[in-house]
Amino acid sequence: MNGRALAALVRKDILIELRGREVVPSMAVFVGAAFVLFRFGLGGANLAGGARAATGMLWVAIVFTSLLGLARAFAHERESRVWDGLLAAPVDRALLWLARACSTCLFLIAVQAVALPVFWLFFLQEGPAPSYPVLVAAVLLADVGIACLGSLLAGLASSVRAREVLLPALYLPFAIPVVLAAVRVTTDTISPQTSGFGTLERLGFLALYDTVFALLGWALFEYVVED
Amino acid sequence: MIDESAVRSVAAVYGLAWIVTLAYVVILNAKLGRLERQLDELAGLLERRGGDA
Amino acid sequence: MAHTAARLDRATAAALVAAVLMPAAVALIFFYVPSDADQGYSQRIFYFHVPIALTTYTLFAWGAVNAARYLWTGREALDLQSYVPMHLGVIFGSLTLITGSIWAHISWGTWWDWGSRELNTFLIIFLFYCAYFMLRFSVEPGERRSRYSAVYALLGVGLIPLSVLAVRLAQDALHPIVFRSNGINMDGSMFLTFLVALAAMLSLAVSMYQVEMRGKRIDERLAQLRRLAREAAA
Repeated sequence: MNGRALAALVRKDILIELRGREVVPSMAVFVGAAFVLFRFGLGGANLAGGARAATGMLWVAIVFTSLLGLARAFAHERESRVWDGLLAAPVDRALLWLARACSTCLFLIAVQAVALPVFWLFFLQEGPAPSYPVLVAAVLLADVGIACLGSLLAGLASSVRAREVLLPALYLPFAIPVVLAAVRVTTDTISPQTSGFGTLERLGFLALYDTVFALLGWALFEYVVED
Repeated sequence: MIDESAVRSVAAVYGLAWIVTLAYVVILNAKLGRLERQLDELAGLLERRGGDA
Repeated sequence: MAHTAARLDRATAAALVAAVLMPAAVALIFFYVPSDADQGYSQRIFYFHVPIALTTYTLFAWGAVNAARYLWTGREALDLQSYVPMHLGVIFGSLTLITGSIWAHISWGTWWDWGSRELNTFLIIFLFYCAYFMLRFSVEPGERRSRYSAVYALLGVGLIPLSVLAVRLAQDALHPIVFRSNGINMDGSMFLTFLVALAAMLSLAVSMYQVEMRGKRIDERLAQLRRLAREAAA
């Protein structure tokens, strides 16, 4: 595992984003607009379904926002023709995937650092609220899983013509388990339901999800870029 | 309650439908086999012709 | 090209086996097996639904195994041998959803039971395989499509146990579990009927597989012939 190469690749992604400011601001605006839509959709004055519906909406928004960020993954490299140069470099191909997963995860965290306070402002001020440490933990764990799997699928879709349509279709079935676990873990802290499964089990599931797709991504990425 | 004779008729028709479907599959298969043999012949002819040309 | 023998080939043999087993299963299901104590006559759909579901899982597993073999060896034939079981898996999967929905309607009066573990897990997996087909249709035929299909198929292998877990974790323990009542405590005649039905569905799947593979091979031969003809004419 070439740590220096990894750091260099992640640094490159971050620098490109800092200079170009393409992805993160758009994601932030998108998630803010989504929250406004949800708020109005659920009933402006009185929130239908309360904080529990809102938490569900939060996770849906997170999934779609991350799709936005992933859509641009690898597009930059392919467009500016540095792709072949990267492939020719004497590093394990999987490192490209890992670097992309790291930078995607960082971008997601950056967007959520803005999105979560906005979410609190819009949705959680009235009525009971979920436990914030649990919510943050769930968000972080979900980010890792989304970034790992999403980077693999983005690499796959980036060489296909219909990539804007294809990536969401490929990705969304995998988002379902994340949303299932994450929504339950956060809403259960609002009003616990007797189900024999605690917060720790559900957070543990998210960690398991991350592990499985980190391993699969690491194993399979070289087959995606074999050109 | 369940009318036994009606069920018998339904089951008989259902079983018959399956037999007919699978007979269709068997016949289809035989035709496909003939088609494959003809394709093999054609391929052989073409390859020989391509070799002579 | 040994598969063009005039004797009984694999596809015909499988179809004949299915032709015997399917009507036998129908006869057993409708005439032989006793009605369920709790759910009555309509419980018999179980003998269709569960074998179809098990066949679906078998087909997906077979497709995934061949996908892994393809990535490992690079043999082009394995791509079709992975794709066709997936394709059949989606067909049988649709049937599983339909029979499950009918059963839910019979038992509960609703066409879909959002509380059912099995149905929800199956739904996630079904969506995944529809996405697999989207992928397959978006890439031009060739080595890249085979590779991408195999990679995505193997991702599905990771998704399936995670979906089972996720659905399980998302449920309330107090929700009644509909399909549990037909677990392992079946008596002899029920078990026999179940096995025959399972064998019938599997043999049906095998014969469909053989026929579809044959059709696809013929497509490839035709394409090859067209190429040869063009070369000979030129």
